[in-house]
Amino acid sequence: MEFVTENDSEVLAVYLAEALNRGATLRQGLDGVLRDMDGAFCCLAVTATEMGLVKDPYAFKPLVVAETDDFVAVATEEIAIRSAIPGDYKVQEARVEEVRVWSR
Amino acid sequence: MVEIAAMAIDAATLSTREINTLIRARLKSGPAEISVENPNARHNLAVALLQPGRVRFAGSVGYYCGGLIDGAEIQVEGSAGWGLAESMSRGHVVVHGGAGNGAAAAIRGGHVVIYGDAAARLGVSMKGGVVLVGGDCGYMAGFMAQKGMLVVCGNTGHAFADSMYATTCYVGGTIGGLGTDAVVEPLSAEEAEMLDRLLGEHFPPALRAQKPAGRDFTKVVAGRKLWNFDKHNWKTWQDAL
Repeated sequence: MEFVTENDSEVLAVYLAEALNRGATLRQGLDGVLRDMDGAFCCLAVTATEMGLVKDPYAFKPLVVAETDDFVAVATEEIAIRSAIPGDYKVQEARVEEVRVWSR
Repeated sequence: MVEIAAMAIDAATLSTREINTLIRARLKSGPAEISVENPNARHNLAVALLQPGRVRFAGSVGYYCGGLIDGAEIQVEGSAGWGLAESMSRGHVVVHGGAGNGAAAAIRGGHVVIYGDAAARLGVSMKGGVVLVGGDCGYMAGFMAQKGMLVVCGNTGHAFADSMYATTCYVGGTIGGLGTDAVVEPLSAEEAEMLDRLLGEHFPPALRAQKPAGRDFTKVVAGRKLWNFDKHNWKTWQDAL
C-alpha cells in the first residue's frame, strides 16, 4: 500500500488503520510503528475496546501516564491530567520505545 | 535571630506570573518559607528566583520548575515535568516523586535530588553541581555532560553518559547501555564513602536504606576519545555523529 501525505500525524493514523484492517491487534500495530517509523513521535491510539501508546526511541516528544485502580490516563503533559481528574495519584513519563495497551 | 517569614499561596486562583511575582517579592524582603498549594503541574513555577529562601510545592509541578534559580531551595512533594531546575546557578531542588525529560539540564551548580525515577536526558550538558536520583533514569542520561557529578541509584536506560566531557557518573543498579565514549572505571574507597555521605545527606533515612551502599556503585566517565579529533578514532566519531 502506498500513501503519500505532507502531514506526519496522518501517516501514523493511516498506518495503524491499515494494520488493524489487516487483522493486526492494536499492540502489533503499535509495535509496527516503532519498527517502521523514523523520527520523533509519541502516539496515543484508541479503538472501540482498547487504548494504546507508543513512545519513540529518542524521547523527543512528551507522553505521560497515570494509572490507578479506577482509571488510566495518558496525555502529553501532567497538567492536562490534573485539570481533568482530581485525586492523589502519580503521573510518570512513558519510557523510550515503550508500547502499552489497555483493554476494557 | 533571623525572622523567617512564612507565606502560603493558593496557586489555583492565580496566574503563573502572579505566583512567581508573589514568591520573588517575598524572597526579596528577606528569608522566607513559602508553601504553594494546588500547583496542579503548572509550568514555569519558581523560575529565576535570585534570592535565598524555601519554596515548597504541595503537589506536582510542570516543566522548568526552579529553572534559572540562584540559591533558593525548592521542594516538590509530587512529581516534576521536563527541564527541572534547568540552568540553575546555585540552589537545592528536591522532588519526592519522579521527573520528566532533561531534569537538571545545563545546571551550573547546586543540587537536584529526585527520590523517584528520572526520564530521558537527565543532566544533559550539566556544567557543575550534583544530580542525585533515587530510582532509575531514562535514555541518554548525562549526554554531553561537562562537569559536576551525576548519581543514579537505580538502573539507567541505554546510551548512558554519551559523549561526555568531565562529569563523573555513578550508577547503583544496572547500566542499560553505555553511550559513545563512556567507560567504566574502578571506584575508589574515598568515592564509596563520598556516595554514602551524599545519600545519607540528601535522602530520608527510610529511602536511603533501600538504596545500594556506596561501594556497590559503578563509576562511569568519558574515555576522552572525542575530546580531540584523532583520525585513529574515526569509528568512535562515526558512532557519535
